[in-house]
Amino acid sequence: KEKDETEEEVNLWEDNWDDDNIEEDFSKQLKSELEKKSFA
Amino acid sequence: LENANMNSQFSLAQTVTYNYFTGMKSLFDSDYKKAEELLSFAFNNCHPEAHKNHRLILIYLIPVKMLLGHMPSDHLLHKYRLQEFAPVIQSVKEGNVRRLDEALEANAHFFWGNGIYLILEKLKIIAFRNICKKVALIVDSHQIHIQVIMTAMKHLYDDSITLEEVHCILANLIFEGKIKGYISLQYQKLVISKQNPFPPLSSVTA
Repeated sequence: KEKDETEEEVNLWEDNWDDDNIEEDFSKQLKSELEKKSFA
Repeated sequence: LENANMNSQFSLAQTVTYNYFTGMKSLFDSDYKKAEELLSFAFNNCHPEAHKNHRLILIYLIPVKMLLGHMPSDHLLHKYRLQEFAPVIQSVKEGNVRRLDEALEANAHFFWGNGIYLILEKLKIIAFRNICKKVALIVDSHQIHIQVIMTAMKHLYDDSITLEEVHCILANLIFEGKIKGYISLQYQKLVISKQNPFPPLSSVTA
């Protein structure tokens, strides 16, 4: 039972969202917007 | 009161309740570290079957955690039926300030009702930090033309944003320690530190 609780605790909060990944759709969209203005 | 060493005289249930209310007070006083400590205690020590109370605590713990850079997982939102936060979380992560405004508006009734609307508005500064971070990664340079940041902000926030507003946002981010760097007025550039220019939010105490 105790193990379940610790496992659950780990699943509650994410810290790894703040990564350096710019390959996901949203960043690609931002990149193309900047490219349009010939900045990137 | 904390130093009076009276904790042993109260039951765990009473301590949980006390921490819930003092945690809420710390949140409204903008003392997020303290609020995190108190509300986490309340959440972790609340009776395991008191689902409704867990949910009530989370309504305040989630904004605190987000302001400190810890995002709630889908599992958490689902388990406690707090889906109202999902679009808020997504837009903050992306730095999509326009969508953040929409997300707050869409569930305005819920957020105002719980008194956290204005707290959640403070996530905007984190969304702006995330815009700057993405722009820095895209242009892959330590010197970023303010014009480039302005273009990104027009795209993700407000078409009519002025150069002065962009300067103001950047100055605030630097002041709060969320960006390590400085503004070069002469070259109209944001110059960011070569080491860790965007420190993890949990390490920045605002």
